[in-house]
Amino acid sequence: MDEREDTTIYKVVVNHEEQYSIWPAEKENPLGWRDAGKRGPKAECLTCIKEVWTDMRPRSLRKSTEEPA
Amino acid sequence: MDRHETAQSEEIDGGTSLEVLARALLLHNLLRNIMVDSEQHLIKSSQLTEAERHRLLVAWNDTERDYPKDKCIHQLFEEQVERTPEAIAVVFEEQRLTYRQLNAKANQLAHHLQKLGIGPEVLVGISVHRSLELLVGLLGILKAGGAYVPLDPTYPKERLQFMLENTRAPVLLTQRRLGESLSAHGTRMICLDQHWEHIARHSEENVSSTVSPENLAYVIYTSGSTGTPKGAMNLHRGICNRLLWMQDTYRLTQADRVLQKTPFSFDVSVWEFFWPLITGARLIMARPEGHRDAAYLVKVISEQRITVLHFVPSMLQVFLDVQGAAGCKSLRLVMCGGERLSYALQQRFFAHLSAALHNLYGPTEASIDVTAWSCERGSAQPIVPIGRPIANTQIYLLDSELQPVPVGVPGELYIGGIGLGRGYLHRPEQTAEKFIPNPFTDEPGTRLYKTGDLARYLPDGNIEFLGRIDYQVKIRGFRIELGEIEAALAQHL
Repeated sequence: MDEREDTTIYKVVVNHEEQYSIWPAEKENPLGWRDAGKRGPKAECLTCIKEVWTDMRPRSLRKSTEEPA
Repeated sequence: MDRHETAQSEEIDGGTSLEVLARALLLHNLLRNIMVDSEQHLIKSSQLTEAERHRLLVAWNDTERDYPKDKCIHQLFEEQVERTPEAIAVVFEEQRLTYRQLNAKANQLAHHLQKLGIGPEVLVGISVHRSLELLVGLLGILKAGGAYVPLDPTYPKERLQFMLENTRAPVLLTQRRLGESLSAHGTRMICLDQHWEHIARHSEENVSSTVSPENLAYVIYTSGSTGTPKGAMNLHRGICNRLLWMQDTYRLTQADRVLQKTPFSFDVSVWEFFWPLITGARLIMARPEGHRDAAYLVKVISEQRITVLHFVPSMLQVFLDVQGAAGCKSLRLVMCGGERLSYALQQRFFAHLSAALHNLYGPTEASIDVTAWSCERGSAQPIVPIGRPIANTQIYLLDSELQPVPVGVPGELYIGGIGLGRGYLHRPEQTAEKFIPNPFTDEPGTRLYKTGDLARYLPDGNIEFLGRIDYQVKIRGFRIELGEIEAALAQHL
């Protein structure tokens, strides 16, 4: 549980709301999450997420906001 | 646990962690016993039977309850205005407003804010001392469809400036005497006192907006143990669930008077403000800084016949030491949270007061509180648990492999369910790290919040809080969780 000792290889995952997270690479994705492509140490995965996750609103909310009233 | 409040308590106690360490070293024998005990507990999670896994993951998390899912916080208030328009909603020193009057003022502000472009997903800063203006400001922002960001005027200017710039709020609500201390490029200042005459030209009618329960209600900054403050984004959905659960569980009536004394930059203030206002009870706002003054609290509780209030345990301790605390006979419900509530303090409370005592637990990231426990006067065990998950909430105690730990074994506390916030404002990487995929649910694509808190199950499914996971030292190579030692010591004191 000590993050300084975390040598796990992670993968970047994303859900239907386009919310990003990380998950241990050797584990199966939890239901509703798919690989976003990147694999690597935690810091690398998080840096990748910082670049791609530019709008943190869930997709469904973004859609309903963009639709004309 | 909310780190703001922890920090606050450490100011009061002075060097908590050092004291704990010293105690730990002095009680070496006890420590060895604990370690032997934990070795016996080194059962691999894979050894959990299917039945045990089901009990931990499913049965103890079976919290589904049907609340209206289409409502926002201010709409629950507006419904109450319809029910009890002439009842007193709020009292601040010599001032008072009925539900109708409070609603009218908040509507005027909301109409004004909408003209300035405030609507769903727009953040509005608010830096106001505790006053009626503060309450009108919060309601006005929500009614306009926006989300509020508390900027506590007693915080250092640099911190406020950082938060204001980080939120990129287009509007800041403040008071004349505070306005000069804050400025940010592109932020428009509205002084709720000085500019009220102008605001009051707007309609008193309820405002319509497209805000939905999935939209932001507020962003509260947590200090964090390291680095810069992070803004935890919370949704109407989670807060409404939390408020309706609270009403379902503890039942406020119109005869109740709730003291609002928590600074509005801590999320406990959210239920202090809105629980009474959606149930027809009376909200009494303590004077600014009054929450630090135990003698003042005794006075205001007696004078206003307060029935419900919240304490962080360190302040409850101070309160019980003040002369007259035991005379606060009007109190019927006292809520504790934000720090570990010790058995000793619980016993002192029961010796002084006849009110019920409840221990609530939750991080700022997940709609105020996620577990609750009703303290027992004649409890058999000398510990105070944090209880079980509240409505529509799941708690998982997991090891470093994200597997459930057996009953009695410490694990990290993860939260799932409706109360989860959206994450940290403008911080996708920290959000992704702390809000992880939920592997324990049938509902696809949901998340868990990783609290960094250590806890364990008692045999009956109640949870005992043990401390922060990073609250860790090594003695002769052994890794020691100070939280566990603290818990063990508390049982022997």
